[in-house]
Amino acid sequence: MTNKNRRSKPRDRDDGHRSAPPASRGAEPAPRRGLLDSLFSPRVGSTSMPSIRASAARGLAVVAGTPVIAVGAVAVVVLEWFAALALGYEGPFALFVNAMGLAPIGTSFDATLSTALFGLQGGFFAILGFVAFRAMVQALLVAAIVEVVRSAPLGRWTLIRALRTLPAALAVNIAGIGLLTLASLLGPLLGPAFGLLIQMAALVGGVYVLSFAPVIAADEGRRLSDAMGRSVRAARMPGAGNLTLAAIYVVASIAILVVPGKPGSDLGVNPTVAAWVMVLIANLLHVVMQSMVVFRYLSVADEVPDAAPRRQAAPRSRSRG
Amino acid sequence: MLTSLVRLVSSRRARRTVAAAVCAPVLLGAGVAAGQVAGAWTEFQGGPSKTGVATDGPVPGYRRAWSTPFDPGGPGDRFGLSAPVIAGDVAVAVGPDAVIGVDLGSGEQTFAVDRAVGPSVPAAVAPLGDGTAVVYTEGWGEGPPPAPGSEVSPTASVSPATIADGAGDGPVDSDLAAFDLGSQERLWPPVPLDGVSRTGVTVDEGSAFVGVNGGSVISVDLADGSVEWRRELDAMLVTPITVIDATVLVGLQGDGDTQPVVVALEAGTGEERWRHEPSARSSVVSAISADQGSAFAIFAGLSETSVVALDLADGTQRWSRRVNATFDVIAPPVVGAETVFVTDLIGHTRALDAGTGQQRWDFAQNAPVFRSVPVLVGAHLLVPTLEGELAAIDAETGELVWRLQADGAPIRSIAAAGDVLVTVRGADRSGLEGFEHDPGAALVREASPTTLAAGRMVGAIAIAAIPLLVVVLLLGRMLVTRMGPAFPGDDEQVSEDGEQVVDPWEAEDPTP
Repeated sequence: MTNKNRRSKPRDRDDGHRSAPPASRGAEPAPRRGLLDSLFSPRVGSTSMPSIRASAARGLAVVAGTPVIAVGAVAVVVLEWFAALALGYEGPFALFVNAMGLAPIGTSFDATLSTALFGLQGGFFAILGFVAFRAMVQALLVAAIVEVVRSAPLGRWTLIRALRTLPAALAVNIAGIGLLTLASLLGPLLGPAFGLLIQMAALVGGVYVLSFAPVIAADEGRRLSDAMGRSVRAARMPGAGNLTLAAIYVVASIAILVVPGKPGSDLGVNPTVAAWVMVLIANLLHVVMQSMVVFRYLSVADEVPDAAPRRQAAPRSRSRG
Repeated sequence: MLTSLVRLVSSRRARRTVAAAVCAPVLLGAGVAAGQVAGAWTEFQGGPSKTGVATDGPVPGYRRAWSTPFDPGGPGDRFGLSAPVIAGDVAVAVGPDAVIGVDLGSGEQTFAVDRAVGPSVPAAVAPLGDGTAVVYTEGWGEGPPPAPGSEVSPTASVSPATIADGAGDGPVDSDLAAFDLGSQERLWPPVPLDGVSRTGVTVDEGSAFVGVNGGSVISVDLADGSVEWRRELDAMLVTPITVIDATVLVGLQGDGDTQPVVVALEAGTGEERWRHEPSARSSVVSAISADQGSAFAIFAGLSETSVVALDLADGTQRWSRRVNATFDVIAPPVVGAETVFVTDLIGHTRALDAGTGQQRWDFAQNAPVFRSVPVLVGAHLLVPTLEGELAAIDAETGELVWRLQADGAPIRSIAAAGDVLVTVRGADRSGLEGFEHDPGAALVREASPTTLAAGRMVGAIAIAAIPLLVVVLLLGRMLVTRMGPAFPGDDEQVSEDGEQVVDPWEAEDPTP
């Protein structure tokens, strides 16, 4: 059973949410376009997608206004740190600034941590376990945020919603690994400067096209492939600003990771108070970002075009000379 | 005056004459005498087995006893001194264009012998007849690679060494040379090498062993400079050679197609005894140290880095310990009585059981350790850093007992010389420095940051998380009040045909 027929009343709000013109409403199948069309088509038009500022305010309100989510995020980071210690991790603690990051930022954290713990060969397999745990946490988180944004109470339905989100969350994180692997393979071939660019592009691209999928699975209960495809179409909605948001998010996540001299940068298993404050704030901001993604998708869910019908194979015309 | 004389004598033209003059008495009367420098720090990491251990030496803390500046030289004036070695009361270090001696008591420079410009790699000292021989390599072929951003030609101010009389006429990449410590006179004509040498010199049982970049290993009789054997190994050789129990241990670097290997040669003949290739894909191997029937080295590759112990008899692996870290290849593991110490590039020292490889303790210094080689002096592991810090770690417990605060000038290497520690400094303090025990120094007992202090950690979490959450939740209350629900009409949802929609999920009973 799904609730994908559910519709919200059209509404105008004063929080930056723009009402889409009536003509754009509905789930009209998008005309199927080729690869180049997808890459170079103009991004004009308007949707009900809230502005980044409005999304950030709503995301902050969701996280800060829901003790279960805020405390839960902190608890997950603390538990992950304890688990890493139990597995023999000796720091640096600052790596955990991206513990709750969206894929592939969070997946990148998993890769780094598993490699630090088990080496490159062992870490390659360990990362699957890390990603599975990340998917469970993300599924729970997305389900909870969807409930909060929908003004529904958190309860056992949240768990059920989380269960149906799990495949999409898992797929998104595995796709994150794939993207990172591809970027790391392509990077060296193109030289240091291009390599870095490729890595950044992979992270931005991953956040851009993958981030809506768990939300779609949680809110609409769609099948995995449908949720992934719809996530891409939602991301690519004209005028939505999703690419800008993804770029800002990735740059900020990388910046906080590489800034020199930050607390927790050294080896050590007893992080200072300052290091904990930095890591916890960073992770709460990741959850805020997740809430922004949920809010943004739910705002435009009605307007996301359905998948274009598959092209019919052209009838063969045999000309016989 | 003496220095000027030595420089004059060691000029290239005069060298041949001097060599001929000094060789005769050496060849006639000298055998290798034992004992004069036995037990001293006679070569890189103490001796031919490169264990990096001095059983006696000053205990922490330390104070600076003297400082001898040495201006960097060579192409671009960017090359300093090699690791020092100790000959009696003199510390000997190799600079880019001279071998210098410094009095251990006063720190005054006692001699400087010119050498053809070459890498600043350690010399070795050994008793020879009634005197002491200082053996070193010189010459740099086409010179070092230019410094990043530098426009200096790599060949600038590099003078190729000249092949000794009778050996040919053209320039060669480098050679092996020796002089008498007392007179600073050449002992025998320089021995030409196949290429540039960065291994430094290892001396054992009257023979000097040296390797060149291309993979040649050569054994030279210290008494007369004759070549005993030469062995081509055909792989990059840049780390010091180790000799123990009549076995020469050579670490050959790998490349895209080949694995790094440890090769054991018979010291007397150069015949290969065994070679060890790591099981995991690797690209480099560290310098080797050996003791107690085992050779110790670090293999590193893209996939993993491991410290290994090899049986000296046949090269089989006794144990391997994976360490996810990056190491400086020129630094061999330090081998104590029952413990092997390895320090990675970020100053994380691990003490491993020499018999099993199990980790006994670790200490995270959190300072860069590159071209700064730790040594074990008495009961303390001394770890110098690129930033000029010197840490003394209790070898038994792994606790820091004393620390010289960083001053920004690298401490490259340490040699233990009785009551004095001789260190090589870089950057602004380029030169040699002597340290002695400071009875007034404050000692500490500091556990490694990697040692869990559960109470302190939980306290830090509580102090950080509780106020943070309070602030966040207060902010949340304010925001929720001001912003209201995200979708105000969500509780009155209607379908497209205007009918009330009930979420089918909410209409179900979740209990089976």
